[in-house]
Amino acid sequence: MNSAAVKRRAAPAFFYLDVEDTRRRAALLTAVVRDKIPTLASLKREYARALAQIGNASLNTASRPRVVSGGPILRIAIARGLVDNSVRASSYRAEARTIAIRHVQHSLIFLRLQHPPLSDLCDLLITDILVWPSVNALGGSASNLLGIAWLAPSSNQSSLDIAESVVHEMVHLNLHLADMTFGLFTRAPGSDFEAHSAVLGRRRPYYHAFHSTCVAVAMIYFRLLLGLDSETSSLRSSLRRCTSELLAHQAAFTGYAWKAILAAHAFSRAPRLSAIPVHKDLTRARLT
Amino acid sequence: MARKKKRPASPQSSLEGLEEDFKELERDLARVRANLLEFLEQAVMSSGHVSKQLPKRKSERKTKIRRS
Repeated sequence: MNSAAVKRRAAPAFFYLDVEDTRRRAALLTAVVRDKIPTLASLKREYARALAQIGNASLNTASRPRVVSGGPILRIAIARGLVDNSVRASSYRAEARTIAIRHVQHSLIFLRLQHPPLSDLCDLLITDILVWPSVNALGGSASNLLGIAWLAPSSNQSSLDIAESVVHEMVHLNLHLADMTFGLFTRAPGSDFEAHSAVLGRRRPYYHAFHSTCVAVAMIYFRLLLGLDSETSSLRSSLRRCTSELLAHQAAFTGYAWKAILAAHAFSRAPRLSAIPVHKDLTRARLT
Repeated sequence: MARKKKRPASPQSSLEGLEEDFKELERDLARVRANLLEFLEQAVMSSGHVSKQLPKRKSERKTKIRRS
């Protein structure tokens, strides 16, 4: 990556769905942690090494996410509280693990075919996908274990469902990257509050509510893209409620986050695919 | 119609541009250093924020997936 690639430009409102902005932030973080500016070809490898250094974890540094169901990634995910112990390891048999891994790999191929720019974002931000069962959750990610996305296998999930979950976790990881580079929350005294979560539909600390805003935008975008328009109405009204509450607390957010909240609020009222940066990339790629 | 040739930037102005780029990059890197430290501090204090996807309600995905 030459210096032009890390050249400053106006922060985009949907930065978490913007390949160029994400690459720039990943390159800046890598430059700070590894003390060298990566090239485009080395960005994923060097970024993964930077995340491994930050989180003191052994991460996959290949160009695409590695899907695993055990080993060191599972051990560290349990140790850091990402994965729960609601299912005993002995009851998760080898055959079931193999099938779950194949389902996730298939969903990644589905995502790549459906939307190469969105897939590029997932490839950059996710180093490892851990498949592990739970009776309490469908998956998750953690700010102290960057790079890892946890997915709980479920027999009634299609490749589309799994791809949506991967995009969901990618957005969380991208927000952590934005927080580490340009900052999202001012943490000003008295700026702590709770707000409606757009995804979970209950009250949560403001930083989780902010995350839910961005995840909801990505989910609405993904569903509209695939023609699942009927599955967006409740999420849109939940997003509207969430962003309306966040908009009453400007002091809690940096300009970068504030712009994202304003854009998400407008998106909840009138979602336009063309407003999303990865969609512009997709359209351009299809035209050429 | 013949197009006008672009005048090459003088060595002095391109150097000034580079210097400005470098200053901007330095400012960005300083900002990232500060934000990264704050993020890590928060992560230690909160033992890491965990975001979990909860199981979907049955009514949530009603649409049949279209095969094209």
